[in-house]
Amino acid sequence: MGGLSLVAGTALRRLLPFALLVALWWLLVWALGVPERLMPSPPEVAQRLYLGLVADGDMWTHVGATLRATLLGFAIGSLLAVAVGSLLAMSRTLELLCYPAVVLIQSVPKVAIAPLVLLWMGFELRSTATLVALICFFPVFVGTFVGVRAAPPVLLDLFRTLNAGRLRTFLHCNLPNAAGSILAGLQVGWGFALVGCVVMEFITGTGGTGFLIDNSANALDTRTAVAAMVLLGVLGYLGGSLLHLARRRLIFWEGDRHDG
Amino acid sequence: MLPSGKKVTELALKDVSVAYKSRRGSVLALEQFNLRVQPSSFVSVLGPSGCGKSTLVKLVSGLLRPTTGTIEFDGVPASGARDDVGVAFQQAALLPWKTAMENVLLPLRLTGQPVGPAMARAEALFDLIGLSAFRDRYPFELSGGMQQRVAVARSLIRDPSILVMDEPFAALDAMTRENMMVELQRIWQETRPSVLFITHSIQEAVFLSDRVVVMSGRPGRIIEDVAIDLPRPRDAHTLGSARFAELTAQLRDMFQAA
Repeated sequence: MGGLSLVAGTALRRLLPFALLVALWWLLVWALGVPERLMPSPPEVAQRLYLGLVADGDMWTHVGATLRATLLGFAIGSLLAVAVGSLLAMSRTLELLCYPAVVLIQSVPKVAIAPLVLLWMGFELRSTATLVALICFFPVFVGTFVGVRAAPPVLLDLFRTLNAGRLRTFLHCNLPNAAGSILAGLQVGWGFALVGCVVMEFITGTGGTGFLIDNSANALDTRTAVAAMVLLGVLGYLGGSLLHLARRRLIFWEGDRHDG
Repeated sequence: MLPSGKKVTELALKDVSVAYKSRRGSVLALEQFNLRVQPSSFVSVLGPSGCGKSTLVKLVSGLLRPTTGTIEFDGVPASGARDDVGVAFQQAALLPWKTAMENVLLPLRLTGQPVGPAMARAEALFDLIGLSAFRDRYPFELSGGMQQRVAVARSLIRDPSILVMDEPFAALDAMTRENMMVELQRIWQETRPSVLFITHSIQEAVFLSDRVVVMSGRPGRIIEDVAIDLPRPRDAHTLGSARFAELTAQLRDMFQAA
């Protein structure tokens, strides 16, 4: 009984901020008398979500497309970022040669190259995943680079007295030491990834939640547009929460110090 | 039972000087330093802070090459880190994501040696440091003194001929330090590597050593070499004995003159 009420209490505490947000939204729409063609109220959006996910199910294909492209691009971009970040952090020569280039490329807003990506990759999953990969690369790269470089000097000294060599030092010391920082980069990168995906879906207009928002907003169907936005929010939140959970499980030795 | 190889390696530092380059020119950390550590003997190096004690540790553990002079093992000049030298640092330097046992086995894993044959030795080392019940715990679950003991076990896993210890108890509280002194003596008597023990505690040096070497301030040179004739095994009574008081007083005078 006690355990059950504790779980219920925790759930309540987690849900309360969302409930407050919805209440505020409802209040504003009602108090300002906003017409539905500009901003629907929460029950209207809930109704559309019910229709799109349960009764009719027409939204699943779009959510699926977004999730597929985002996951694929996120996986590719993150893996590349961890690899490149590790190499540059472990080698001063590579850092000197490549770091300025990486920063230079980063200073171009990724969204600006979306039309070019489309030109190179064509209208399918490929172009969306490519933009996602490009856009989530940098936060993961920085997280990896900083984390690998942050290995405590005394541990590096120890590894040198043990004749560990660069690869073993990386695998047994730098990389595990960077895990927390890499996961923090992934958390930021996941949010970026969704942005990249939605922007590409705006442009390609072939499907996905981005397409759904663009298309329904043009038709003044704000219920659908806001419902799709809610779904995107859920994707972003779920991904972030999963990564947060992974961080706590994986980096058990840091306890709760780096939570948040 | 802790099987231990025959240890005959003699460590010698010959005319060693170390100069560090800094922004304001070069700084001499050690100058014409000569020290011989007989096989299986316990030698402490006592000196004021900044006298080049840590430089000494780096030299013997292979982290640093002397600017002039040589480090010799059995008369052969050394180049780089060696398998037969164990090192314990001021901090325990344990990997936080590995258990105590995995940390002790780390030197073998890093050199790609099979761990199986060393398991018996690892277990014996845990018995020796009194932490058999804690071998599967992670460092953050251990106290500072326990962590330092795990670090000592790790430095002994490859049965080193020479053990270099850089103020290994400096970060511990006074009570723990006293216990650790007694424990280290016991561990040393069972495993018998030569020990080069760096400290700024006169008590620690006298209690543990066969010889205490006193260094001058920078650039570090040896100004005194004192044989400690207290009978072993030494214990809490040793700390209260007249001879112990006499030796510590003698060293304190030299230390102040340094």
